[in-house]
Amino acid sequence: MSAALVLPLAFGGLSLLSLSMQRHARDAGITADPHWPRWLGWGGVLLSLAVAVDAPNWRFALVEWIGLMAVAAALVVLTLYGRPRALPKLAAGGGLLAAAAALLHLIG
Amino acid sequence: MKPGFRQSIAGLHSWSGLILGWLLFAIVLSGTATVFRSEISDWMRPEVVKAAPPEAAIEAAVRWLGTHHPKAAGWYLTAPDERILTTQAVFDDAAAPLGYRDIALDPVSGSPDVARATLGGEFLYRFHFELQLPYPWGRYLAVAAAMLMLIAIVSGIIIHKRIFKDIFTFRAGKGKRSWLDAHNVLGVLALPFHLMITATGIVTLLSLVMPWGTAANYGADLETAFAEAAPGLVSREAVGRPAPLAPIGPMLAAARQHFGEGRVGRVSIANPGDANAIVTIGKHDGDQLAYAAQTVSFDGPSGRILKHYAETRPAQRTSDVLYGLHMGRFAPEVSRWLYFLCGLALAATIATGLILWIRSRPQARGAGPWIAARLNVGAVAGFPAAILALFYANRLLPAQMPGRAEGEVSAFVWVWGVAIAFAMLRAPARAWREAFAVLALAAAALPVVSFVATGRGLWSAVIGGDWLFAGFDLTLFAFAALAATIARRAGVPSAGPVPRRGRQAVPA
Repeated sequence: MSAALVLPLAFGGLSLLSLSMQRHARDAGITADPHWPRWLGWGGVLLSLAVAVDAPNWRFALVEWIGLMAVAAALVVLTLYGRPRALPKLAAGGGLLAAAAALLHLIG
Repeated sequence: MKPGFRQSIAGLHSWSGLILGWLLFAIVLSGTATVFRSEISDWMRPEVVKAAPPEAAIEAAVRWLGTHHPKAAGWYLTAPDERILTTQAVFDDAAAPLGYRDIALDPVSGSPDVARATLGGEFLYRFHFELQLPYPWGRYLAVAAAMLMLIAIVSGIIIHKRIFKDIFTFRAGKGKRSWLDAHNVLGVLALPFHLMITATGIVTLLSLVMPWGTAANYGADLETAFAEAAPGLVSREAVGRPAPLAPIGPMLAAARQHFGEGRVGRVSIANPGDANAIVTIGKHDGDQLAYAAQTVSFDGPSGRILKHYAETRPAQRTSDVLYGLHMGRFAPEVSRWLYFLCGLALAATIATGLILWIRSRPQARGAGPWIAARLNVGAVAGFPAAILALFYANRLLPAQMPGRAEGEVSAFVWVWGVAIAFAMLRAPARAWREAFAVLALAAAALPVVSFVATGRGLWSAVIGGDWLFAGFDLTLFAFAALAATIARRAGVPSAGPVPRRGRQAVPA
C-alpha cells in the first residue's frame, strides 16, 4: 500500500532535483537559487526510501522502491516534455501532501 | 590515427547491441510478458473458473496422475495460488512427442480435460530462454544474447557523457537527437533494473556455459555433483516393488508446519507407486526473494519425514536470491507491474538503439544497412504480433482440435515469420506505419473476439470484479493506443539531411 505514498514522494523529490538544473528550471518558467531545490529534492528521495522500506519485508520493499523511482523519474520526464510549467506545482502539491502523510506514517 | 578510448567503446556499444538486438528484443518482450505468466495461463484457460485450496488441488492432481500416469518416473507439481487456478504438472510420458508432458490440471477434478489444450503462459516462459530451439542450442543463444546485452549496457554507461546532467532530458522533434534522448532516458531511468535483469539472467544459465568448476571438482560424476549441490533432495532408485502412496494431505500439513508462515509451492513425487517413492514438498517460490529455499522430503509409502532442509550455504543462497530476483516470483502486485514496465522500457531501449544504428549511418549503402533497416521493423512489430497471434489462436482454434496446443504455437511462429518477410518487402518508413496500424487494430479487437468466444467481456469483468479479464483487456487497449501512436508518428521525415535520389538511404 505504501506505493501510493512512495510514488508521489519520489516524484516530488525528483521533480525538485530536475528543477535544480538550469535547463529544466528555465523550461518550467522559474528562476530560483538551485541550492534549496537540490537539498529538498534529495530529502524527498530519501524520505520515499524511508517510507518504502518501513514495510513487513524490507527486501521486497527495496526492490519495489527501485522500480517506483524509475516510474517517478519517467513521470518527471513526461511532465517536462508535455507540461513543463505545471511541474513546480505538481511537485510541490504532491510532494507536500505525501511528505505530511509519510511523517504521520513513520511516526504512527 | 588510433581511435580514442571512448570512440572504440562507442563502436563496441553499437555492434554488441546490433548483432543479436533483434533476438534480444524478442527475449526481453517474452520475458516481460512472462511476469504475468500465471495470469496469462488462467486467461488462456477460460473454462477453469473454480478455485481450490492448494492442498486440495495437489490431492486432486495426485489422484488423477495415479490413475492415468502411474508408470511415470516422477511427477513434478506446482500448486495453484492466488494468481493461478490450475496445478501445473510435468512428468515423463513415452507417448508424448517430446517424451514428457507439461500440462495444467483442474484444481477440483485434477483432470487436464476441463480446459482447452494450451501451453498457456508456460509457452512464453519457455520461449524466453529456449527460443523454440532444441536443447541446448536455444539456451546457448539466449545466454549469448544476454552477455552481449550486458556488454552493451556497460559500454553504454561508459560512452554516455552526461548521464546525470541529461537524466531528465527529452528533446522532441529533433530527428536523431530525439531518438538518442529517448534511448538514453529509457536506458538510464530503469538502469538498475536493466543491469539486474541482464546479469541475473546470465546467472540462471551459468552452469550451462561455464561447467568447468563442476568438471574440475567432480569430473564426469554429475550425480554426486547434483547431490551435493542440492543436499535437500533425497534420491533413491526404484526397487520395482509396488507400494501405494500414502495420503498426501497429512504430508502437506506436516510440511506447512516446517514452513511457518510460508505456503506450499512445489511438490515432486519420485517413483510414484514404488516402495521407494519419495515425496518432496517445497515452500512457495513467492514467499522469499530466494528461488527455492526450503524443502521437506517424505517416504512415499509411509508418509514418514526423511529430511528437512533449509538452504544456509552463503554461496548457494546468493545464487538463489539472484535467481529469485530474475524470476520475480516474489513480486507482490505493484512490484509485478514495475517489473513489467521496466521490461517494456528495456525492450524500448533496444528498439530505439536499433533505430539509432540506422539513423547514425544515413549515408550507408549496401546489403547490411538495407537488411538492418527492414529487420528493425520486422523484429519490433513482428514479435508483439506473434504474441497477439498466440492469444488469437487460443480463442479461435476449436476446443477439440487434435494438436491444439501445438497449433497455437504454430500461429505464433508463422505470424512472426510473416511479419519479418513483410518488412523485407516494404520500404521501412511505410512498413513501420502499416505494421503498427495492424498491431493497434489487432490488439484493440482481441478483447472483442475474446468476449464473443468466451462470453467473458470487459463490462462483466469490471462489474464482477474479475480483475484478470479486466486487466488483460485494459492492457490490450493500452497497447493498442501505444501502437496507434507509433503508427501515426513513424516515418515522419526527420530534420536530418535529405537522402540523395536513387537507392533509399534507409530512414527508420
